[in-house]
Amino acid sequence: MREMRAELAKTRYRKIWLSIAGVMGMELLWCFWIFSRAEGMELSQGFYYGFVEFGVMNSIFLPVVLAVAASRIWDTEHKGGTWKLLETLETKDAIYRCKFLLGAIYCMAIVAAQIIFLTALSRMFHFGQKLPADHMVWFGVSVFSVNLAVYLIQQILSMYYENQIIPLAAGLLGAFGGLFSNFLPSQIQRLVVWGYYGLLRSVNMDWDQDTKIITLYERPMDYGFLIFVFLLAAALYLGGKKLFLRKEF
Amino acid sequence: METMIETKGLTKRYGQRLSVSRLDLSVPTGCVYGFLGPNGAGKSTTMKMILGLVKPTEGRVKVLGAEMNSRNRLAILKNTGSLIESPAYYGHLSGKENLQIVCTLKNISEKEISHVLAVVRLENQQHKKVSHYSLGMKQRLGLACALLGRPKLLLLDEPTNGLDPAGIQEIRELIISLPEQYGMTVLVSSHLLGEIDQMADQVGIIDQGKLIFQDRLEALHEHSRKKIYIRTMNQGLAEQILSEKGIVYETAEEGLLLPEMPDARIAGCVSRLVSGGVGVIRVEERQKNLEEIFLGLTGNRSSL
Repeated sequence: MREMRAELAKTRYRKIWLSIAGVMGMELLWCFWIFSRAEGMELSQGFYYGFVEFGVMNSIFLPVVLAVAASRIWDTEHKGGTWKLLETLETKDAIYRCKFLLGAIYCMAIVAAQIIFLTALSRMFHFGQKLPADHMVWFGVSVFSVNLAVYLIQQILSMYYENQIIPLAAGLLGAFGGLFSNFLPSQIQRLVVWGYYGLLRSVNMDWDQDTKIITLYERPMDYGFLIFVFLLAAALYLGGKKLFLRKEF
Repeated sequence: METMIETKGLTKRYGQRLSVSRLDLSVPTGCVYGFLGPNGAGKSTTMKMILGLVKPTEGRVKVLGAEMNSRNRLAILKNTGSLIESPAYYGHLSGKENLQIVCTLKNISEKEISHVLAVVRLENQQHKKVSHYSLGMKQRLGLACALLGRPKLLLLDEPTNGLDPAGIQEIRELIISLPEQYGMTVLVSSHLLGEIDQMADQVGIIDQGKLIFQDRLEALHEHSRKKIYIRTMNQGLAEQILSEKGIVYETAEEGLLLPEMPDARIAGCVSRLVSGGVGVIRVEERQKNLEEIFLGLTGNRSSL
């Protein structure tokens, strides 16, 4: 507990919450704009429309914001050369665990914010659709799982490299890669972790160029793949921890 | 407890390079132990091994009477404070906030903060962001962090690096006062002989990873034998006269060095030179300084 308190104290003035809030604000504004132009057909499936929009925005923004969060959490130690001091005060295991937990809290906060936004938007724009609880839970759990996997990749990079340009560049490239992988066959999509936001969506969208009609349809919830993503996150946690324990600062 | 730190055969190898070799360090309780050696000699590596930050290749470390291992390391380090290589700090936080974090991790009361700030004289800068501190202030903050919790053992790695003369004197006086005022044992490393000479009671000299000397500071000074330096107006004639009388000498810069001898014999030499027509202009007692002793011990291989 005291290690976690110290970790939280270190984030003071680092503006991590501000970065996340900024991105969430942008997503909210985007959705607000989309729904303000939406027609009856789209509003009648408002939640599904929201899942699709958030899915696209998550592919673009979340890899970057998670890269920034991981960078701010780990760079705090690199900058001040505090590793040697920390290792005399707590175990390396505790250092790694607390930094991961802090990141996991941000991952959870992002999901919570999106669920709250979508619920608020449904009230504001009077969605014709009743809240699909199963899809909402799937949305929350799947986005959280991908957030964890992406955050852990960024954590490893930010821990390993003192120069944070490398992990931040990886976050940017991940965002591009994730977005473009959405247009590729699913077998190739599965190779790009940052593209899992799109892969795990329970709703998809077709847009007819001629009729300009959007069709929203359900996709099977791939529980097997969801478990795979959580296992991937666990493997990244353990692998990252092993690297960290072996590293001499 | 007679010794605060004891190492046996402590060794660290990085690939083919032997950074520290079979070190048997012994730091008595209640002293200021000066750990002296040139840059790259293995001082910092040794201190990191003592703190368990670096795993030794061979050998063992005993701190505060207990042999250090991964299970008891933090329990032992609860009673130590350290400042290794450069001062550690969170630049975006104030000095006080930095110390609060250390208090949280050490599980000690924040009331200690005002005391350590007073000891290192940083009270007026405690609310300033550490990124705006000078190097000297950062060093003092690092020292304050190490002093939190009134540890029994303090490890300071070149604590006066980058300080101006006033700052060096301040830190030096503080270190000297710690055993008497707070009952602490201090292990301080430096590559500056003069600094160790002014601070330490015990000295360990490390060179190329090996401990080449370990004893009281007085014992190190005893390594230097006194010599008598005589400067004359006619060195050649002086040498001839001394040789004829069977007096052994060495030539030195613009003069001659005679071995230590009773005053009466010195007076006799001077008398012989003067009566031989040699003008004697200097007669001095000379003793090897610490640098010369160090160079002698290292066989002139290293310089500081």
